[in-house]
Amino acid sequence: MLKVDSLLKSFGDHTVIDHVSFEVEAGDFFTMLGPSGCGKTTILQCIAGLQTPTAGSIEMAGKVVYSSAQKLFVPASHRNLGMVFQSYAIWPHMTVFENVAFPLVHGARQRVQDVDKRVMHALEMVKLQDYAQRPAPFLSGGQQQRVALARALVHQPELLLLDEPLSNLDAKLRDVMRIEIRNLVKSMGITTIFVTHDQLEALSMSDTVMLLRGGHIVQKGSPQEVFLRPNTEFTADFMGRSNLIPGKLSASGSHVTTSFGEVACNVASGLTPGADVALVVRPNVVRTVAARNATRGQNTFVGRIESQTFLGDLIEADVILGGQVMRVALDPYAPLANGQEVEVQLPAECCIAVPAESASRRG
Amino acid sequence: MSISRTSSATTEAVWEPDTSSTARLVVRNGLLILLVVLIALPLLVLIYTSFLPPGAVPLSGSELTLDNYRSILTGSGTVALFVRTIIFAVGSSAIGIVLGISFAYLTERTDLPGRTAVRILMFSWMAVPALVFGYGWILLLNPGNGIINVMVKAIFNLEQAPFTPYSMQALTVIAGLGAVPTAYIMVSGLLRNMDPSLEDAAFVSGASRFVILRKITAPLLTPGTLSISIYLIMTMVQHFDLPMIIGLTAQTPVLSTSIYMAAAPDFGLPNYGLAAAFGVFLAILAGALMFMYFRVVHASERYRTVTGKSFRPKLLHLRGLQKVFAILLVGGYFALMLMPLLTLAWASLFPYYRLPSFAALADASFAAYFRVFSEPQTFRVIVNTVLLFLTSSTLAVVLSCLVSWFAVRLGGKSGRAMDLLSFAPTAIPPIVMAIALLMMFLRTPLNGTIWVIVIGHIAMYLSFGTRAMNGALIQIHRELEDAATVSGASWGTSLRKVLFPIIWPHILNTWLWIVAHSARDLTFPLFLLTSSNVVVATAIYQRWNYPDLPGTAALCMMLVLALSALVIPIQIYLEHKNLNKA
Repeated sequence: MLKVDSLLKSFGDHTVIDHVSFEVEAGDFFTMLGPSGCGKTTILQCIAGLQTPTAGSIEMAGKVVYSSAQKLFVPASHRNLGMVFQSYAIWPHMTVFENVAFPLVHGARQRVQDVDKRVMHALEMVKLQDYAQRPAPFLSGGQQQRVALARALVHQPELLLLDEPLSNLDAKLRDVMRIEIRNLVKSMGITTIFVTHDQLEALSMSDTVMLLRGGHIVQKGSPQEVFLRPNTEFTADFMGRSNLIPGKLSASGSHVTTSFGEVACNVASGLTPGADVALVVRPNVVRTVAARNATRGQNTFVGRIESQTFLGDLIEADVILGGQVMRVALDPYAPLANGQEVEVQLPAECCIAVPAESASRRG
Repeated sequence: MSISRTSSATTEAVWEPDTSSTARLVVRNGLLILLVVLIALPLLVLIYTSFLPPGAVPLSGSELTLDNYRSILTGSGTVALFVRTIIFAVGSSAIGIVLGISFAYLTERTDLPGRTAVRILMFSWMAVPALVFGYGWILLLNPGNGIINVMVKAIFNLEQAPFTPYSMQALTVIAGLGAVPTAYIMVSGLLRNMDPSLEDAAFVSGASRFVILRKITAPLLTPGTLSISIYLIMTMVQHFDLPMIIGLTAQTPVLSTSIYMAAAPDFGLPNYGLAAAFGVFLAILAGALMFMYFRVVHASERYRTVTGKSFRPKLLHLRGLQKVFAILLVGGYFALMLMPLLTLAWASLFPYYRLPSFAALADASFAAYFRVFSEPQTFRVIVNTVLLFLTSSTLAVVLSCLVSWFAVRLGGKSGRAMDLLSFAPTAIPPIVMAIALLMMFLRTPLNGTIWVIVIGHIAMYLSFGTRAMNGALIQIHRELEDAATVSGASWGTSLRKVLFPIIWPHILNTWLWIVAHSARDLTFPLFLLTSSNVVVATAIYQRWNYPDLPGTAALCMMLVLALSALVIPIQIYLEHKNLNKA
């Protein structure tokens, strides 16, 4: 459906997108995720035709819309897109109806006959049919968001672009809209490109997540793949709280030698024995119990609780293991004391070795 | 789906989305050419003219000479002329800024009764031409029969008239009073944009209102006030109308009037070369002030207090004497501003000038108005004036909207060039622009027509228009236009259906400002005057010198009333929309 090939965008000496290539399947909910400045919004603007790339090509539904080699550029108004902006960009001088009708009335496409019917249908989809005649300034943030969505979908675009649409909503509303937006676009079967810096949004809404950093793609895959099998320290850290423990890959290639011992684990592809690695262990997979003087199983080590923070759902604790701080999650109903010796078990299937940051290419 | 080719420029790394819109390219290039012709070309002609020998006419093939510069630099009165210009500009600006700050503080930060009315009156002052204001003051201060002089003489039993309008001091004070509304508008914009939480923070810390004013508000406003002061001085250096009608009789020429004297002497041939050389000096002076202005504005960036939130500062409650004093100050100022108008209104009712009295009232009539209207020339004057302010304001606003769009939204080299070109007239004194246009069009069919004045006003007011529209555009999120483009709208449609309707109150405000200034301006119409392009301002000037006092007064009143009828309702509407911010 969408094919971006070797896309380059630079401002003078500053490269924002560095030869990025990817494809999006029809009907996919595709998310570009990354910290600010990673280039995700610029890529989206290039896809929309609101920015002109420096080089590369973009193909939509089999048609080239931008190609530096062919010196070809289809203006944004002719790409048949729907887009929801971060600010919603609801036109304040129009009513809800006029906002949503705009793409049908003023769009460059052929004249549409049943404007009323289609606008009302779009408003029904976002449950705003009773607000059609309301002036746009009299809408709440959530309602503006829905109007923006209806306006982006009313002309049945080939591609829906969402630029951080949830970042201006309060937390409760964000949870509701996350589900609503995904359900809506999936039920319409429309291909969606979503941009966000929030990993929770990315994980909960997407079919595919593409993580970006400094204008490069770091990892691309299903939410499960990206979360459970990160390929870099950056991915592991960005997708959720992680312990990143420095070590070396053992000769067998299935263990990591750390300051507190040998840890059996999964290994990211492309690592050779002896390589500097970071062992990724999420705090909530670590099993921590008061130390018993029994024989210890695989991946079990003894440490001491350094500090704890009570967070309600869990207790976050720092455990010292061979001079290394390991953050673990404790059961709030079974408290342990600071300074207490504990046994820490790291399930091998939940641990993964990734290239150490210094060895991996920095963005 | 239509596909168009990108221009080679898109490979450059500039923010240039959708460069392929041919309509936009055409408009952009057209604007650039127009701006060069309107603004850069006249300046070049001016500089060229300044090297012409006395008596020569531009493009007549005369040899170039440095004589004009030599005669100015070695002239005995030159130093005095510059000093007088500076004293006039600094003095009148000081009066304007001190009163402007006082009134702005009273209306923005205190619960002064009637502060909305004060705001509307200040914003509506543009309906009173400097020319009318000046003539009113001359009638009030005339040594022979000026009302103030007669009254003061009677009260204190004086032999001699204590005041005269024909002095440097009077000229400076009158110009200063007239500059107050401009200063007020700029300072109140500054105050409105200041985040009141900065003051609240000091208040919570236990500081008194007075300490806050002295330690927080005043220092925060200092850079902004300084830049406004420099801006005012710059406009007063360029000011022509009042120095022309008051200063020339007082034998106190300033730079702007010297230019006029050289180009349109009472006796002898015009010396365009000398006038142009004076113009170059005036432009250099204004340019230097503009440079200072930018330095200060740049330095004050770190004092930026705009946070974009809605501001609702707590209002200081005026008590007892404070309130009395504040009301007296504001009331006194408006009395001073209205007195010249009332005097003119009185003078327009009698066939010859009479001191105000109830006895005289019996003879009052509108005869002068009927007489002015019955003259065949008046019809032409009115048509010319309406033609002038309607075309120049409408065209200037359209140009400003487009130039600002390219400057703010598109940026890049062409955007910056347009921004600079359109702003340059701020430092080009109107009188300098007028002489440059005179030279430029001397040998064309346009010479002597109303259209030369229209061109001059467009060039002159473009800088105000683009500043106002830049300010409006910066406030409007570009995503509003992007949303239209992505929805399939062309560039023209996104401007017509989305951007312009949203900023329309700003457009109206800008249009109104240019209408009022175009209708009141004496500089261009007087400098480019012929028998066929007389407008109301020049008609008033001619009648005053004729002399025909009742006719002058009647014309003045009609101009002020007509402008007020246009300006005041729109200002009330804009105040209601809470738009008069800066």
